[in-house]
Amino acid sequence: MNKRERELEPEMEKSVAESISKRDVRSVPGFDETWTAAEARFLVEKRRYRMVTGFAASLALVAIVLGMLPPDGDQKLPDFELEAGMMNTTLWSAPSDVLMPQYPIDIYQDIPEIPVSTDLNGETLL
Amino acid sequence: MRDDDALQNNPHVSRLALQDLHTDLYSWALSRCDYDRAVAEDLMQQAYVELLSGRALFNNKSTLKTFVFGVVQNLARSQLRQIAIRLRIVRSHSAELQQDEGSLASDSEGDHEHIWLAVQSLPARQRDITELVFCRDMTIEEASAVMGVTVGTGRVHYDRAKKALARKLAALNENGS
Repeated sequence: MNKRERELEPEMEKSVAESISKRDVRSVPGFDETWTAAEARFLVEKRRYRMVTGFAASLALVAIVLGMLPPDGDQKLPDFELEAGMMNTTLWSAPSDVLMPQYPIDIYQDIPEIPVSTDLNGETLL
Repeated sequence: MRDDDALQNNPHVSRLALQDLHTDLYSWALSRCDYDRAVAEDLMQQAYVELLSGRALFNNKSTLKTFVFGVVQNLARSQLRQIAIRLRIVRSHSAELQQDEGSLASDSEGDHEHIWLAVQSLPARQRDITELVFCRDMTIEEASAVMGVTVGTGRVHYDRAKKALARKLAALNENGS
C-alpha cells in the first residue's frame, strides 16, 4: 500500500460502508412477518416429519408382523405331500437331469436278480 | 432473557435478540444471494426455521450475532450455491456493462456506484470480510468465524481486500481530480 492509498484508508472504510448500506436497507421485511412465516414453515416441516416417521414406523411394524407369522403354508405343503407320497408308494425315482435320464424303480417289484450258485465243489457252495 | 421469550428448541436464543439483529441479518442475507430480495427473504425464513427446530443450536460459544450470521452463511452456501453462482455471473456481467456506462456518468451520481463496483469486483471472500467488518461492525475474528475460515486466513483476506480497495479508490480519485 503506497502513501496515497494509506491516506485514503479511513475515508475508504466510511465510503465502502455507506455504499454497501445504501444497497441493502431500502425495504427490510418486518421481523414479525418473517418470523410468522418461519414458524408456519417450521410447523409444516414438523408435520411432514411426523408423517414420514409415522409411515416408516408403520412399515417397520408390518415387516415385523409379517416376519413373526408362521412360515407360509403353501410352501410347506409340497413337503408333506412328498412325505405322504413316499409313504404310500414303493416307487422311487432317482434324481435325474439331462445327462442322467429319469430311472424310476419300485423297490419291491423291481427286485434285482442276485446270481446264486447251487453248485458244490466238495462241500463248498460255489 | 425472559423464559417465555427463549426458543423451545434453542434455549440460549430469544426472539427479542433475533429481532434486534433482524435488519443486519437481512442485509447479510441479501448480499449472500446477490441482492435478490425474494431469495434473501426465503433464506431468512429458513435460518429462523433452523433456529426454531434446534438444528442450528446456539451454545454461547460465540456471540449470537456471529452465530446467526454463520447460519445464514452456511444455508446460503448449501442451498443457494447454484443460484448464487448463476446470479453472480449475470451480475458481474451487468457490472462490467455498468462500469462502462459509469465512465460516462457524472461524478455526483456515480460515486457510490463506483465504490460499490469496486467492492463487487473483489473476490468473494474479500468482499465478505469487507462487508462484515466495515458494515456489520464485526471484528476480524468474528467475521472469520462467520465465514468459516481461520483468523489468520481472515486477516489475509481483510488485508488484501483493503489494499485492493485502496488501489481502486485511489485510481478513481485520481481520475476524478
